[in-house]
Amino acid sequence: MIRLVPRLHPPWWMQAGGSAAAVVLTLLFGGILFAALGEPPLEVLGVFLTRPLSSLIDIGDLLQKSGPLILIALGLSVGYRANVWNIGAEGQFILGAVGAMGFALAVGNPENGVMLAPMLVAGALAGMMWAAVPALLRTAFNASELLTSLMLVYVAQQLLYFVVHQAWKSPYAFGWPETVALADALNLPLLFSGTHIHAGLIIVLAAVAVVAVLMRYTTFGLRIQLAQSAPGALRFAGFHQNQTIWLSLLLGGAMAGLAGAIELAGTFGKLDDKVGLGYGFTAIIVAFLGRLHPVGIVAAGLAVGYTFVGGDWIKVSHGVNAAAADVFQAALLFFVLASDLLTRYRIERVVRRPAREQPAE
Amino acid sequence: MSTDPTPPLLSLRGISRRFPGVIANDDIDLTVRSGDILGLLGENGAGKSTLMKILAGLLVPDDGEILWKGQPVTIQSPAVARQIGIGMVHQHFALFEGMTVAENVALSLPGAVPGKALEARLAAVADAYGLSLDPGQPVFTLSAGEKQRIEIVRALLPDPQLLILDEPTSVLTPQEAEQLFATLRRLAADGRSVVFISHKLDEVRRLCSGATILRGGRVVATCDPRTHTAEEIAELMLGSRPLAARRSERPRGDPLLSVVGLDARAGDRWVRVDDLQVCAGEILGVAGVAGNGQSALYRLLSGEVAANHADAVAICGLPVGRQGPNPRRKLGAAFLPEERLGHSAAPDFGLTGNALLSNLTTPSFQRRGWIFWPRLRRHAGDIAESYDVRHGGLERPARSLSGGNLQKFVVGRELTKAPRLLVVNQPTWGVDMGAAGRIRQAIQGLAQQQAAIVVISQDLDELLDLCDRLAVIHDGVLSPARPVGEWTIDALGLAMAGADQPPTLRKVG
Repeated sequence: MIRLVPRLHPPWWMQAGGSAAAVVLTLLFGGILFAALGEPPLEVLGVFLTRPLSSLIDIGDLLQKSGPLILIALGLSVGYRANVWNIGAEGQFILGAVGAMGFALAVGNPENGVMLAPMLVAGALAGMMWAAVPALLRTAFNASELLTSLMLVYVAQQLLYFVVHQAWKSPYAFGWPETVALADALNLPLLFSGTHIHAGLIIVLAAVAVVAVLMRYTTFGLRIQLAQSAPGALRFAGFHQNQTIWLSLLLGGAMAGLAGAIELAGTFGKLDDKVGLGYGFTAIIVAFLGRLHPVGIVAAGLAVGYTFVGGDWIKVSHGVNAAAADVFQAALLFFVLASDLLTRYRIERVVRRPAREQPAE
Repeated sequence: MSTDPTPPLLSLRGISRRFPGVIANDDIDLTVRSGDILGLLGENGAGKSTLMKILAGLLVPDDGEILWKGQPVTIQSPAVARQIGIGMVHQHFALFEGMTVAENVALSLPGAVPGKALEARLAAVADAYGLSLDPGQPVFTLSAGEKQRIEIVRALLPDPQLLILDEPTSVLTPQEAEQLFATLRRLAADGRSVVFISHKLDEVRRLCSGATILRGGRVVATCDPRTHTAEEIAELMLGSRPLAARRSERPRGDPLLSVVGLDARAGDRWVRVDDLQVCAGEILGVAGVAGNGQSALYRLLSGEVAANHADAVAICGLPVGRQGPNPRRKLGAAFLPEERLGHSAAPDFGLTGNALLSNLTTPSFQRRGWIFWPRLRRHAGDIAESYDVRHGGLERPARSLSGGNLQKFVVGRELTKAPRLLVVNQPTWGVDMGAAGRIRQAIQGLAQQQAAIVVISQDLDELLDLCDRLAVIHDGVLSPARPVGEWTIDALGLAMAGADQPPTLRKVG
């Protein structure tokens, strides 16, 4: 048997060395993987590593893929810091897109930019509503939000299928499961022509600042930090555990919903049955990779976005099998998380001892 | 002694053990003969646990020698204790709830034991001493008494000569305790010896053939408990302290805290308070042996747990029984729980952050959820200065402060609010003498300013020093409060031990 013992102060060289080892191991693994598939390993790795930064368009793609990850992970991080385990951001993201589309359709999909902001708010509210269900089940019946939030992802997917196949199906889509396109005025404006960078980036940056300020300067942040480190002190300060659960789930749901609405208005332009793309799940990794800290989450979101773009490129440039590209991305995450774990903890062999030798007090 | 043909099973000679700032065991002599059931009596902090840990191999004494069957031994680890024949049953169970009885027992044995052989040994021990257990039953389905039987069986399997039980009846119902006593008597009849650590006088008087009484780390008496009254033993335990009524110079004002018909649960403990009034300028003490509902009482008074109805707790005449801590604080109340790290202070926060914990209703530190950190920082600095808190920086985590310094800080945090009512649990627990003196002084100063104060403490000296009136909590029930001068030390000891009937009626043959 082994167990993990936290290192109190990992030296800087260990942290740097850990990250370097993760990169080297990933490249080694990738090289072997691509060679086994009959691809020139160095060339493929070169494309993966350099192409995401090689042009403005690629940088735009990187930012566009990182944006939703960062936004969702920010909301999740607040809950995770309070020991509230919302893993259903994928569903809240889908609801955000559905809610925003529903709002646009309800107001007649007008060529009127005034409706853009309310549409995004509608998406955030829809995500919030979806997260309210686990909050209610947890506070009223003590049902684990871990399970209920995850299960609601599948409900959200069915809801999405219903609206794109049936309720809001476009009459002009030749039978494809999709809604009509959003009016041009309801699409987020591009920030730089020639790229895919849209105004959603500003919202993401603003959200980073808002969460950082919330955590540092408000009693809300105090409550979240207390819930994480000292639940007894939380009660002493007069906060209620249930309120904390509600607040952190609603915030997480709202941010995932907002991300869904932004993706709808910035990238997809209409709903189809593929909205989601796993952003809500990947964001969980981003949140932890970023140590649940706003700035860390930005860095982690960019890093994971980088692997997305690099992965897309090796599929295109060398026709690398899509599954192999995914395996490579996953290997990168695996090595990064493993090195992170081994930097912060050391492994100790445990000799099995009778339980009684542990002093009772 | 050397001519005695059979040396005692165990004798301790001059055992001492010091910790920084305190001598936990001071020159202790103790003798256990085969077939003895020896009671080890003493208040909290008298040194019972330290002595027991020395015997169990968890602590090594600084001085003195341990003779086992006449031979000097060094018990440097629990394994050695087991090997020479000392078995230990701890107060808190170390059992895996999800496993069966047999699996839990097997875990305590060195090496793998085949299931059949184990069950046979279990059955043998169980039959011999009336410890019936179903080996296949999962532990979480068992009562406290049954769980304790597992612990006893585990301790008995290596065939010890001496069995030490630490407060074994604290978790048992009276009936289960009765069964335990029967088992212990059978063990003694079998030639084994038992050391029974307790503060329950009646039990010791009924069960034990000898008693050693500790006070302040020293042996103050060795006696046959069957020939002494509970009052006599209580007096030996508590010492004959002067109980002269301290003339309270303070004028007494209106009742600021009124607890009437409180009958509620906090955590796993019920608390009942029929009628308690604490007036302005008065310090009321709540005495009691550890684990009799002190924390639950604190939580109900502070509002961390709601009372059974709104009128059960009134502060300044307003019913707050169903309100949380902050509405009560708005009425001028302040609260200080026993535990510093994690309750009255957040270990990872600096002093600045911790200054905010009980000030969330103070408008000068936050408005509409926005925290004014610069003001808080100044405030934390002021508290640290006026209460002599030594710290390595206001933003250093609270866990880096010594217990005494952190306690001075949280006491200062509450007292600078000039509360009209203060409820404090164990104000000087784990705090060095200097800091303890300062804290007591500050509490008295607050009463001088016409605040009503409730001090819950297990330290009788502290209560006698501070308080005007005393109530005793036992098994969650708070006795009526009486002026300190009306309590005798016997009455106090008996009330704390739960012997509320006159001891003459409790003769047990």
